[in-house]
Amino acid sequence: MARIGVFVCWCGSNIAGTVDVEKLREEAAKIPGVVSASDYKYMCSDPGQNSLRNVIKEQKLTGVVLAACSPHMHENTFRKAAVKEGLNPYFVEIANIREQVSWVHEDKERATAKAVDLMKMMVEKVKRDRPVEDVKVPLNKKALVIGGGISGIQAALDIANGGVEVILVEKEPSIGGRMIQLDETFPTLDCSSCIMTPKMVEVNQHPNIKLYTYSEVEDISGYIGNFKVKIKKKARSVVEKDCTGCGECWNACPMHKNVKSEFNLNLSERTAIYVPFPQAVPLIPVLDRSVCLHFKKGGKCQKCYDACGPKCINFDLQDEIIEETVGAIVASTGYDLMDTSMYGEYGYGKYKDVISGLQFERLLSASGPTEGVIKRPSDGKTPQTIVFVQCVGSRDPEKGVPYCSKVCCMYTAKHAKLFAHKVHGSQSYVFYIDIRSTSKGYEEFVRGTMEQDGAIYLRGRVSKIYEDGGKLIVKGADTLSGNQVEIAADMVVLATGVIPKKGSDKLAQMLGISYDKYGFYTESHPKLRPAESSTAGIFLAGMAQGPRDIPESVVSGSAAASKILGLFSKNEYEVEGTIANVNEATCVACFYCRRVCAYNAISKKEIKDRSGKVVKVVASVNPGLCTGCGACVNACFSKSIDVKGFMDDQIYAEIKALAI
Amino acid sequence: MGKLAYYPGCSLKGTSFEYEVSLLKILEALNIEIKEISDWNCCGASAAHSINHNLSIALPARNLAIAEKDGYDSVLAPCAACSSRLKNADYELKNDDVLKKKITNSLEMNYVPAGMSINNMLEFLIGEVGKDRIKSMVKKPLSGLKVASYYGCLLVRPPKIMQFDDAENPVTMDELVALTGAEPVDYSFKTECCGAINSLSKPDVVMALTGKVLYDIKKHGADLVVVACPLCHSNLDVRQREIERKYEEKIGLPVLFITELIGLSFGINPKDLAIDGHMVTADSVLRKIEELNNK
Amino acid sequence: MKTVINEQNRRSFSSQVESMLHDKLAKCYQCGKCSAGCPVNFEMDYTPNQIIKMTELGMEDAVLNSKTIWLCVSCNTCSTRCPKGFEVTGIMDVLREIAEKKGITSKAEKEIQMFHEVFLDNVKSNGRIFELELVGKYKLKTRHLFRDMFLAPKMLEKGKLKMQGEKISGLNQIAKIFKDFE
Ligand SMILES: Cc1cc2nc3c(=O)[nH]c(=O)nc-3n(C[C@H](O)[C@H](O)[C@H](O)COP(=O)(O)OP(=O)(O)OC[C@H]3O[C@@H](n4cnc5c(N)ncnc54)[C@H](O)[C@@H]3O)c2cc1C
Ligand code: SF4
Ligand code: SF4
Ligand code: SF4
Ligand code: SF4
Ligand code: SF4
Repeated sequence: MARIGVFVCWCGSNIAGTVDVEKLREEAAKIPGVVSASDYKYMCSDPGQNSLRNVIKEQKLTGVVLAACSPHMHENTFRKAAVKEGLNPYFVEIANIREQVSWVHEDKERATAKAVDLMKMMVEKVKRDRPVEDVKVPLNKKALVIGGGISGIQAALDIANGGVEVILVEKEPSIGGRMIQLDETFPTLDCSSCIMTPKMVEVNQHPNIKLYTYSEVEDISGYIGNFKVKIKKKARSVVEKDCTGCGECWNACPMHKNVKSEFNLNLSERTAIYVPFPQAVPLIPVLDRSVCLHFKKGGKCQKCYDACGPKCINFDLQDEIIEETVGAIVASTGYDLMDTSMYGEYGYGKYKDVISGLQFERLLSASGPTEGVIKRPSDGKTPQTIVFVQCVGSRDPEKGVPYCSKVCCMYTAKHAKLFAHKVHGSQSYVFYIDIRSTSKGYEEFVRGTMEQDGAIYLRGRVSKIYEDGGKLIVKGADTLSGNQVEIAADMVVLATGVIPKKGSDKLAQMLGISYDKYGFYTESHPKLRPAESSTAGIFLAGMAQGPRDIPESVVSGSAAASKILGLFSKNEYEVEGTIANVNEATCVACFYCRRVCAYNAISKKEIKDRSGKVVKVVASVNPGLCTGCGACVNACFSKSIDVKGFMDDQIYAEIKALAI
Repeated sequence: MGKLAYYPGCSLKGTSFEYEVSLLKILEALNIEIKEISDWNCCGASAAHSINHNLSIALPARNLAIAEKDGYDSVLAPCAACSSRLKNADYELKNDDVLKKKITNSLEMNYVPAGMSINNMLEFLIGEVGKDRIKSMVKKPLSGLKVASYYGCLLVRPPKIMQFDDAENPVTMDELVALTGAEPVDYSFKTECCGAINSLSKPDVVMALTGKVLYDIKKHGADLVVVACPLCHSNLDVRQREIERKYEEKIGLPVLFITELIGLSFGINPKDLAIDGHMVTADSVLRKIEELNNK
Repeated sequence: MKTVINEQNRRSFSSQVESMLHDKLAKCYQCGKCSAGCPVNFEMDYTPNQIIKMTELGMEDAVLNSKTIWLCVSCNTCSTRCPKGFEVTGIMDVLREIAEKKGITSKAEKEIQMFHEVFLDNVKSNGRIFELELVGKYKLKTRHLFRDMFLAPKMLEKGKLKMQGEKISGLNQIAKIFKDFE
């Protein structure tokens, strides 16, 4: 005979303000099988939990219903309290009368009626609860980091320093990401490569880190603790272990014109065999077969091979597939700049001296195409007047994206500052709509750009840029003085907004993690679980989640690492027991369930007799992947799948409770 | 090519008669038949939408409804202002059922929006006629002639309604210029406003705007300007002498309708294209064409 | 400059504009791109983005008596480039229409307003524009009799000015349209 206890929580006035908690308690007491009904101000408080435990003990309860807040909040709290009194944790049910009732309704009477309904349903459910056991999955204590920008590097180093093996996969020939393209960094103006290269070198030398550059993840399957990863290592045409990075090959390569350097954002050329920048890690060149004469002209050229001392150039090398098994993954694939060609009015791509913020970083950088001397792309002259235009592509739902890219206010202030430092007597004008400078030292930094470095800020957008007599005429507005403003500039820098790295949506699909409409990975909870993806065992870091600067990228890399180290501190991972369960006796192997499962949790299982002969094929649920969503239950014609804790008879009983 | 309606609009019957003359001439050469919408009325131009929104939809709607009733598949409105008003009306009637009801009630005619394609001159030439057909008619290629295409506002803006070319950097007219063998000239103010309707009421403003465009074209070395809009034409052509006087700098840029330029390349006699109807004489252009042809 | 906000007036004016415009004033975030590209901004007393803000604040008199709404030539540069897709050109139409309906005559820019009025009168009586009549009436009304007169002889010579206008046969229909919507 069921002995159910119902506990109504007021949540202060959060619930009690809208729901008549006494009425609710009285209604509960009337339900057959309910042996105790009570209400209390804060059930989650220590006294609240204690009273729950006392009633369980004294009344020998077989099930508990809490009419309280969302199970996302305190289900665990109450389950733990119940377990202490020897109850199976799944005998605790929650009627959510806060998020689903008091917070969304105003009429007290009708809200109370709804609360009563929800409570009744849970009572009927809990009467039919059977014990459910959590599932334990073993953990392979090895981590995969995808993307070797600053956030991925930080994650990899932290995990490796925690004693765990890391595989770092980077798509480009070198790690470093965007940060290594930057010159000096706000707000402290430390040189980016000075602080970045030591980390890159550390990655390369770390005994716990295996680095795959010029590589991409081809396929991922499995689940937390047990991901199977296929990595494609693209053919470099250079035998890595023999290469000394001496540079003879790229110096010998005749293809030194017409191939634009990706690293320098088309502001300079590179050879067919090349390293993207001098401090590349690893310092091993890549031979770009799409432009190499050896490949284009039927083997005619082999100057690099001839020049190479250790003869490590091998034109026949093929892509390699490497397979690894890891227990956890960090996705830190970073960002791209938005394409600004849709701004016909700004003439990006038409006028050579209208450039992006990242291109300006390359012009500032000592390792850049101009060795740190600011020169305009059109004629190599040093500009005296630069106009900076903020929010290009960002905050523009019509042509770009509605969100704020967060870093461009700051990098523009930095650009104007560095321009003033490098070109004496120069002048910069910055068109902005709002200035976002909210981290430590940021506001002071921007003020400094105006007050010490003399940048003139105009509040307004630019409408058009055109060329006239060797100058770029910038037509903008200053909404503060209410004026249309025209400035003749030598160069224009567009503070282009950021978008997720190309292909990040595809990777997300491969990983089975969710992403927003722009392609940024979404966190499991925006506030409380910011490092976790929607899929267990996969963590997020850096700009791949949304606009953020270097400090935030580093913090998020460390956060992902600490989550993984925490996960790996145990040998097994516990998964909630409320997952799908196949009745093998009735399963007819139609595998409709497999088709509808969004998590790839269902596989074929062969049942063999003693002699090893297959007697039956049935569906089998992988506990590591199943989320208990229940899609398969609906799809199964033979009614052979149930989700534990949500059995058909329970659901019907709930519906019946509502109907009466 | 379906049945083609022709909506001339008031300007083509008056100050911009050159546009109509030349357009009919080249269509004749191309053997394309268009028919004037019977008893068409003024589209209301800028005045209607400036002070009376409903009127600005109702006036063009009458023309569209007549065209629809008469079974046309598409409407050619060579005047950029007219095509813009017709497209606007069609768009609003498509998206605002309440307004549509009011207007069809008032007209006592039915109208199904988006049923006919409404074309400006350039759309018509590229879309309905086609580049190949135009090219095949070019008898006297204008190679060596430098031509700036001026689009102004109404052909391209607002893009969501006009659905024509790139709003910031249109190329259709330049493509047509290239078909005639002439060389398109790129410059910065292809779609900058000339002052349009305020020509009479605010001549100073119009001269400032038009002047800016003309001087920029001049600087980029064009021999002439082509347009596809009577309003642009009258500002660029009729006001040109005055602008020269005001800013004390010679311009001397003949302003032709695109149809006239095409007509010249077809070898049609300039007189038959009404090229002598402009305020800024096009003699320099005609001379240059002769010279180039003799070379 | 100072504005005391009267909540009731503010709401009634801004919601009248919004309902005629089919757009929300709050969409505009005052970036100023509209004003930056407006070809006639240099002549305006308020920039287009100011007009939008003032409308939102309910500054009805200032807005309806502004030069700006009449100087706007509906070139659509503003709406085309507005990052928020706000109907800037549209709001100018709406404000002119409200001013017109209220019988407010623009002090500084009455010529423009009169031109529109004379133009529509011409359409009303002929169904089409008879340019000579249009210009004549406009000049009479504005008393700018001699402005642009020097253009006339040459235009006549070139055949640009027709001496006779055309009337359409469906004038009754035109009359009805005007009756229904004026
Ligand atoms: C012009 C400009 C100036 C800036 N200046 C500053 C500054 O002064 N101070 C500051 O704090 N911040 C600055 N920032 C912001 C800074 O660049 C970012 O915060 C930081 O680089 C983010 O690092 P990340 O690791 O998340 O991404 P990224 O640097 O983009 O790194 C991602 C890495 O992942 C790799 N990758 C992507 N996809 C895959 C894949 N599928 N498989 C394998 N690898 C992949 C990429 O190749 C890349 O190496 C600036 C940004 C810009 C645009
Ligand atoms: S020459 Fe050989 S060793 Fe030197 S960098 Fe090139 S591939 Fe490596
Ligand atoms: S073989 Fe290719 S990479 Fe090597 S030197 Fe020749 S062009 Fe350069
Ligand atoms: S950070 Fe500044 S410049 Fe960048 S989108 Fe946000 S407001 Fe605009
Ligand atoms: S451009 Fe658009 S958002 Fe910007 S001020 Fe003008 S109307 Fe407002
Ligand atoms: S439509 Fe009016 S307000 Fe907008 S840019 Fe043109 S003239 Fe200015």
